[in-house]
Amino acid sequence: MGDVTELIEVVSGATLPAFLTALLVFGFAPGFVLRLIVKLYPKDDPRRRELVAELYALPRLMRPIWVAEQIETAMFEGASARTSRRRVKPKYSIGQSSGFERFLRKRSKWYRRRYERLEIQQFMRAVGGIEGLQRLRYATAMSIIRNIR
Amino acid sequence: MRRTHALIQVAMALLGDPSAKHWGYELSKTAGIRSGVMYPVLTRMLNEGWLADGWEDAAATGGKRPPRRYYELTAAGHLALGCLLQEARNDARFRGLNFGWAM
Repeated sequence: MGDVTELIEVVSGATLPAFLTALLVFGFAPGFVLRLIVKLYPKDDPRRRELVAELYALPRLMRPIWVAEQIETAMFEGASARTSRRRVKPKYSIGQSSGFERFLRKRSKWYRRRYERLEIQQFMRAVGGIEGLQRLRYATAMSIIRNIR
Repeated sequence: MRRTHALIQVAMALLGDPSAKHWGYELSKTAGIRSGVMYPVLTRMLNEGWLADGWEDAAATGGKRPPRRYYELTAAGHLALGCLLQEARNDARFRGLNFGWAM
């Protein structure tokens, strides 16, 4: 019994200040903390604005929990978006490419697959999804593709 | 797209009201999943063309808070998610889920 009491004292002694700090930070300045957290996303990512906007639509009591949840979101989604953007530089979109890039495109299956997938995504966004694609004339579609390349 | 519990739950929440605008927090509550899991699923759906997104009208918020982002099902998304739920219904992995009104 004495051991259990001692254990509870140790745990509560260590976690109480941490708990109070968390309460203070997440409870009194959730907007500030969230704005720091969303910095993990790339600069032009709409999720930055979205998460902050969602915060103010929540009931006050839910806000600290929402902010704490966004640490996970930003770490997995934001950080991975940053690294994946670094891996594939968007040179393909302006029609200029380095010699190294041309070499990769010809030689590497991985690069070609990734390159083509990004092109398709970009094309679909440009025409406004499947609905837009159905309305498009062949010649217009081809000119969009040429512009992307 | 890989079929996961999160994807199926978000699909059910979206198909619960296919013509409505869906907001992040409400969607995560309806789907019953954490936002950390839901947002990557939404991104994948946007990339597939199953969802369209937009921003709330700033005038509607009265300048009291920033405009929120909403998600709407596209025609392709409606079709794709319907098929996805139909397949999930027969999949043993998703037996625990209650498809009820979503089908």
